[in-house]
Amino acid sequence: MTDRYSAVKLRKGAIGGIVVLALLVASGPERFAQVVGFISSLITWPFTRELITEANRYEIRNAEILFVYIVAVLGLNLFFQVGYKSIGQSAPMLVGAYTFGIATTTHELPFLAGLLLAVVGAGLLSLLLGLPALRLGVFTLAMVTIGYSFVAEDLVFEWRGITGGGNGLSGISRPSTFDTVEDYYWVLAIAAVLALVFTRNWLRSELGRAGKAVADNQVAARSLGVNLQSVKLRAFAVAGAMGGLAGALYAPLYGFIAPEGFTVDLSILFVLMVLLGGSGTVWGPLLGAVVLFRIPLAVEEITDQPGEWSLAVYGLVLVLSVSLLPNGLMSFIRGLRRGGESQSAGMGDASVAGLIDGADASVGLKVEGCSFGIGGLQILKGVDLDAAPGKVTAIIGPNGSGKTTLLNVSSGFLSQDDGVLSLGGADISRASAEGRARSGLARTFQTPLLFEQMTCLDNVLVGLDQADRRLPFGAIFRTPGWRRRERAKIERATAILVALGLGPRLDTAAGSLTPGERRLLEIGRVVAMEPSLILMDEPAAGLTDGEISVLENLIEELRAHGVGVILVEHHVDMVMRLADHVIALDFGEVIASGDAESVRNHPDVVRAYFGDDPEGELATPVEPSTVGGTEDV
Amino acid sequence: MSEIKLAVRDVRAGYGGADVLHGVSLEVRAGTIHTLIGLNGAGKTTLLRCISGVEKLRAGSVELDGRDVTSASPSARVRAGLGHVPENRRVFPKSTVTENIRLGAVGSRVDRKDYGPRYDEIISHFPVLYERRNQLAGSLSGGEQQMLAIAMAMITDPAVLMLDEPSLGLAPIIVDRVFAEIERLREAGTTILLVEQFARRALSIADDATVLQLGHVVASGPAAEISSSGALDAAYLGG
Amino acid sequence: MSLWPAVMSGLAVGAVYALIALGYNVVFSATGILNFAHGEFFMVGTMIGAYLFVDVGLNPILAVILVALLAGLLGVVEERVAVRPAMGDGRGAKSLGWVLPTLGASILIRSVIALIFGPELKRFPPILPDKVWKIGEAYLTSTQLSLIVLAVAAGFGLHLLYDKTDLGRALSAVSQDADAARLRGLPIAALTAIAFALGSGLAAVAGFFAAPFVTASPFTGLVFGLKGFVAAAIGGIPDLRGALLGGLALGVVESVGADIFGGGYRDSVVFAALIVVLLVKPNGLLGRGEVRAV
Repeated sequence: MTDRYSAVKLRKGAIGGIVVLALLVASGPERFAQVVGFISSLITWPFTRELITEANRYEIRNAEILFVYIVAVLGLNLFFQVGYKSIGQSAPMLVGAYTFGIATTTHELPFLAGLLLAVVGAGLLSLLLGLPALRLGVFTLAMVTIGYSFVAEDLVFEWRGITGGGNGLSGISRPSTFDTVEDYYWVLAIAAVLALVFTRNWLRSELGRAGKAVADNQVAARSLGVNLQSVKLRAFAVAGAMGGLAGALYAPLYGFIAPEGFTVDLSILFVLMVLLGGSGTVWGPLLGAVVLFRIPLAVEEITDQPGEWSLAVYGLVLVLSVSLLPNGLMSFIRGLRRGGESQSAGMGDASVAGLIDGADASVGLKVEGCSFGIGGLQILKGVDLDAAPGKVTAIIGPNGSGKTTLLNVSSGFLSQDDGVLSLGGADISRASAEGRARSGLARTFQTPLLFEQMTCLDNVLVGLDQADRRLPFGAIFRTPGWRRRERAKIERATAILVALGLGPRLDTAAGSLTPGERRLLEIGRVVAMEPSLILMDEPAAGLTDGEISVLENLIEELRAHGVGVILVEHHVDMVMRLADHVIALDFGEVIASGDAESVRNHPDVVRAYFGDDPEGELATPVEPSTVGGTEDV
Repeated sequence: MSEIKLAVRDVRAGYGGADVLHGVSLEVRAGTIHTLIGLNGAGKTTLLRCISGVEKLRAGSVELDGRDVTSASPSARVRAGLGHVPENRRVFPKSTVTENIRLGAVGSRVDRKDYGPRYDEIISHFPVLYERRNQLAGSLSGGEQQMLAIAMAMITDPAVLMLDEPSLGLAPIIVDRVFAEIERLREAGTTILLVEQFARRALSIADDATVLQLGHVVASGPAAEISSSGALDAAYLGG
Repeated sequence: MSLWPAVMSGLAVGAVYALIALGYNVVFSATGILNFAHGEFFMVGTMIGAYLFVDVGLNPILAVILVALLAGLLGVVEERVAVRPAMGDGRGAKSLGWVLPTLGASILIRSVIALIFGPELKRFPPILPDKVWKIGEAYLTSTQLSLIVLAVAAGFGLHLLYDKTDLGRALSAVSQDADAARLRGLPIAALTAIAFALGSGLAAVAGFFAAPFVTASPFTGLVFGLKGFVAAAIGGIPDLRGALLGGLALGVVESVGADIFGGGYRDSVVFAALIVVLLVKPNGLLGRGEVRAV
């Protein structure tokens, strides 16, 4: 359990860090500007030969700009965490700044009202823009976000009546109680701290887990019932809202805003800050912001073409980032602390008795007349399947017979050409994969699809999160109810993993597990969802004898508690032992159906499998050819 | 003692934190079929990938025809006479059968001007492929793709041919045909390293065998000995 | 008010977008990567082409060849320094590790060009004689016509490459399964370098011929790179005909849109077009396949 221990140490270190940071911020604008100026000028000292040790008004303003950047970057980080890249955070910032500016000057609204309008406006706009844009791929989205930056600037010029066009908007004042530059510091400091707390709560909760899951493996996430579009959209909208907040806070700093302050290059700087610090981490963007903040200022001092030189530096950093610090500073720092990976400790005390809580009601899956073809090949031809509630149904057949395709169609990852599917009587023929998962239909994949970068515990927690979906307020505000639920989830997840023999691997990244452990983890995650029916695609493939017996015990436990299992398997003995009902497929058609014994001895089945050699064995665990396999998903 | 065409010495390799192969050694005699058997996760595919040079070694060496190729690129090894029929066939689905076979020759020791004649020679051994020569490889059945993958390796005129689980996903009747083809290749003088999970079948045509379990060699020697020894039962090999 | 002038100039600009889009497709076909720096190679073509043609007084044919070679070389260097490290350890194009390094390369190239040449673009006189062609009610200058011809020729040339040559087929194989291609001895390193050289060379040539009517700004490369990408995506990456169709269509739509709604909405029209097309046809107008390319 060495990883657990060092996690405790890390937590203590983090709390220490927060205290120091809080003290620093609370020490006031002069001291803060001094310290930050000093630290960040250290980075550029080789080029400027100057260490910032004084805190004049210029430095205080710089420190305040840093706070603004921090808010924007923390927001952007939430979106990066989902696996997508936005190179357009300057756009909501521009929207926020101008909304605030126009609201407080032309319409003379008070400071807080202006802030609120800016935040809501930028957030809503991001939501609207994200609706179509987030259906695109990562790269296309990145390009579109750059486009937003350009379009935002264009529109500022176009609507010069209200925005002042190229001349900018001036006369934006600070709130009356914080009128001076030094006093305004407190507003910004509080905003930055709140932003940090907000993003920390977000990332260390079911919201963060969902984001990581979507970034790691979209198919696996969908199979657990995660709605990809929702996860991406809320991250994008919140990132936009925080960008808007940053813009609104920025506007009163100099009292003047113009389009030049919100170019693509600013967006690029933000991306760099998130990336360098470590995207998806809590502290990373903060670190990245402090480290990179001083560069443009230093470059300004030493060259006559500050813009281009700064840019060159950013470019170089980005180009080298992959080779030097692929995962950012935070993971580099964490890497220094980490010990060796724990070796596999065997099955231990694996016992699945009492693990299953039981489904609310047993449901069956009915497939009628299902047909599916692709590229001229007909893979399923009018297949019927009736999996009775709470029973184990096995699907057997030689390769190419369409077993995996049948599972893919049943779980919603492929759309049938013809046929009706119903779960517990309700028609799911047109339902999405994630929708079916939420209705209680779970599945595992031929090759276990895990969230490789997440620990075993987190993998299972994602499953548990889906069983109990609710609004995120608890997570953000850390209510006692939320804390209780989170503890309960961790307990349950631990129990599941221990029951499956994965106790020693709780804090190990899924990517480091053996093939058998991977399979068991995937099944554990599915069990956490509390499904009514589980589709298992060759679950025994690659498992050792010990692992297979855990699997069989689990399937029996599931059945005993009313959770149905549909099993595609090659291990004949396993099928004979477990199945209540068996269907045999060959070339996309059902050739036999009934209890295990009679199907096994059915002449058509024997012929399909063994050809002319009745003594021959079934081929051992297989991968499908490119058509009809999980690659199509 | 016949010549060693392919040798692997004390190879260590892995992904991320863990090692998958822990000091594996193996020798393949010229003109023989050497089968490498073991369960999933034993490291068989990783070993083949190390021999081909697409996976980096953490320790150990690879010798082809007595020459050390450990630091040679995958291209160079193919040019030196190494052929690899990958697990799951891995043909190029959007190219035609003919294009696939020609592509096998690109980058190999076959001269540009010989692509045509070599293609004609190879395809004559695979009448089913000839029938489908203008079809997209992605539309072929598993068995046909397996034959195509073998043809793609054969066009390079390999001295050593490695096949990674050619029986995977194929009905027993098709497996018969594939194995018959492998035996024919041995008759023609090719040295063969055959990786299989399907131990019994593989041992029935092999001259030598090595048993791999969780990255360690647990037994090695003439196929007949391995068949009858307890080493197979010790690790549940099925087949 | 006739829209014809807008359509004609739209076709010319569209031809430029098409050329840029073709370059994206070549690189993507072979590597699964979309090069962020692609637009900057267009800029290199404009700037260095202007320098060679105007300042040095080089023969335009020589100038364009030099520019293409230089850009090709730069492309190979970019691949080696920025892209390859991101693709190492078998992570491949799907891991998207290349997005940020290519962004970095684009910024680096942009800043170096600005540092060398300064922010002002040289005056670039037309290369071809000042002839005007009448098509229906509209007029096309020889520069505009030459661009359209160039785009179509490039598209056709690439088609021949992929269909009839072993090089082209090898490039296609790498895009289908780079790992299997490596295993079988295809010289991946060389093929990737060739793809990058070809792609960036194409962009630079487009920049050279487009120089007379490109307005200078630090962001020109980015803007053209973006719009070229939009054209490729609309047409369907990595389809060659898609690049041509997408480019020409986008040019016309942008031009007509600017005419109708006003110049300030030019970029908005472009991105609106992208979103609309991709929502209706996620793989682009001519794209195929179940899984979206990008």
